[in-house]
Amino acid sequence: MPAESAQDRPIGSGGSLGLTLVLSEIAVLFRRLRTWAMIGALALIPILIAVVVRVSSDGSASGRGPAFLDSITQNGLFVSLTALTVAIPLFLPLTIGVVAGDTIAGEANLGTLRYLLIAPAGRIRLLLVKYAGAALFCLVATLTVVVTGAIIGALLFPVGPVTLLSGDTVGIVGYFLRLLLLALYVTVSLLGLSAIGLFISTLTTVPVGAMAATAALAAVAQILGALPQLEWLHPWLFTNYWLGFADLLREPIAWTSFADNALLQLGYIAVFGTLAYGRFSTKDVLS
Amino acid sequence: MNKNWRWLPAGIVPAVIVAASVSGSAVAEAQPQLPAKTAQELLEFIATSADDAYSGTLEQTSELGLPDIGMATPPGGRAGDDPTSTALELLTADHTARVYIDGPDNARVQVLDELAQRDVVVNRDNAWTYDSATNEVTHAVLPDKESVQAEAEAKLQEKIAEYPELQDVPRPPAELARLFLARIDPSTEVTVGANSRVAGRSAYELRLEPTDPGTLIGSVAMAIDSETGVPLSMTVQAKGQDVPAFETAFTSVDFTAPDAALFDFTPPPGATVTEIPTKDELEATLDARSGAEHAPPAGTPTDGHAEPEVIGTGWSTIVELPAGTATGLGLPSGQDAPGMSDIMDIKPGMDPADVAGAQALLEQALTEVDGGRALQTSLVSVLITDDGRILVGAVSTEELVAASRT
Repeated sequence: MPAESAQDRPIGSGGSLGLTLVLSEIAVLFRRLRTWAMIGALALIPILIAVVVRVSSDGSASGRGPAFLDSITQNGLFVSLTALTVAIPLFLPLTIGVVAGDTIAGEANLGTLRYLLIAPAGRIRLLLVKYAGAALFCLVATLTVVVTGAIIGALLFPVGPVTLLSGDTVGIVGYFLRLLLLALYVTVSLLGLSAIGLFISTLTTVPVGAMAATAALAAVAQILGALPQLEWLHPWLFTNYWLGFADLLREPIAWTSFADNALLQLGYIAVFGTLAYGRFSTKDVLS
Repeated sequence: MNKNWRWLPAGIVPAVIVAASVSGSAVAEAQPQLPAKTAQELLEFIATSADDAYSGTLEQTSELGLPDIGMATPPGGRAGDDPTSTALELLTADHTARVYIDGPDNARVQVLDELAQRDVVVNRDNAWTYDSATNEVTHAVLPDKESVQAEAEAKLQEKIAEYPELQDVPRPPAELARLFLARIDPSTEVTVGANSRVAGRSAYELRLEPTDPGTLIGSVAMAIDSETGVPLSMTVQAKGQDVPAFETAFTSVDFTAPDAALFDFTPPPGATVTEIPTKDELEATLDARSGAEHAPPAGTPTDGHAEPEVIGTGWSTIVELPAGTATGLGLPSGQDAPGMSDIMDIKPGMDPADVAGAQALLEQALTEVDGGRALQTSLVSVLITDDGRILVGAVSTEELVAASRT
């Protein structure tokens, strides 16, 4: 692991300005080889799907496999949707878990945390800055899947007006507006998980532990969400609306799931944000 | 000194969230005050809503005592696309649907599945269905409204010629409502229930309660919007079951005219379009076919048009489909018990996993009873006798078995 976090950071120089801190955090995050490896892995998902479909395309729409897979041969723009459907349950939570779990525990592990904390008020700001970095990664990760999917789809397959789930068609511009909304929806969906990761990261000085715990929680929540016996619990799970992004592909757009999802994620941010504050502000930072 | 106060927000935030969600549902429970209406007035009120334009979201839940096939389906997929599975899935699984209505001529229903959608569009002359999972469209040309009306009017005139006293019978909605109530009175108790709130609107409740002890149906309740008379929910309660056996209700409703473009439908490129023949076309094909092959092939039931027999009256009516129907449909009839593969319409292209899943489901649902096999749900029972008859009714399996013996 490169020990660049503290050295490259202009500590103190912009201490009064939160923005400088956020920018430096983002710079550190995206200067890491690990971040780019994860983004590369995410970009591989749509590429893999598109190439496999192109190579084995014998025109038989079996109706099996992930949603939208059959539509790819007719319209390459569907690669983004298939890739998102595949990435949301596993790959996106995994990468978010790595980034969010590393936020505080990573600095503690490198022994750089105490340098970042000069005043007690600095702790809140550090939490906010770390969270902003994780949230930005959510957006970048989602956009990576969507944009790579659209590009590789356009390269390998014909492109044209897109059929929505309701059977209506939209032009390419309208479709890209929806894709952007969709990326926003998925980003919002992942914010709750990022907050959980931030909290777990304040509990430990072993970043790998926090990463694994965060990713495992995402899996546990999805398993609980698949059990009909726990139906009363489902609206409270942060994974509940993860596949609801399809509501943006209906005509007219079903905004309720977007709003419900945002409210739910806001609740998770509030609960785990305050928990992280409680833990981090009372913690004795020794490293 | 003590830094523990910093944990305070972490305690307050969950408390606020819980309080907000509890108070939110408490507000919804409040019972509205409305001017009293009789059952007859409510029926007239519903009749006035036929021309209304509105849109809304419906939630359907059912608790029929059948195995839930939704559990065995992967996200984004469905338990097979053959008609049997689709019908079972529509009945047993929970659904959310959006409804757009503009008068009696234009309607659009969208069943919102996870990562998929099924649409039904009806505009003046055309009816379309679209399934996004299979990219299949069906299209039917609706019979001309005027000719249907003319036909009905001609029939009425015929009747009037037969019974001249009908001429003087006025038929306003009020009169129809009175006739309807008089007609169902002996078997059913029609009452006005407690007012409720449905989709944020105050609503009357009209309850139908069968007096017949033989039926499985406990009650049918309908919530009627207090301003427009549009039915907002329907709940069917089964006897001896606390949760409604079937419930469909608006969760949100908007009484402004929906966008007219919603009722236009053009099949998307690449979709498979199936045309459903009109009545005339169907008759023409049938005539042509019977001309070509006069004698029906040996082995087919000759009385293909045998009328189903109706046993009993009112809520415990049992419909008996004559012998041969079950085998005609491919259902097993005991004697020459065919494999389960004959039960469903299995096409060569179908995925074996789909077929196996649907078969297991049917095998699980059917139970052996005296003289055949039965499917018992909390509302309806179906009996397939060993000699190939099918009996259906909103009664217990025992009643069906008894009826099959007579």
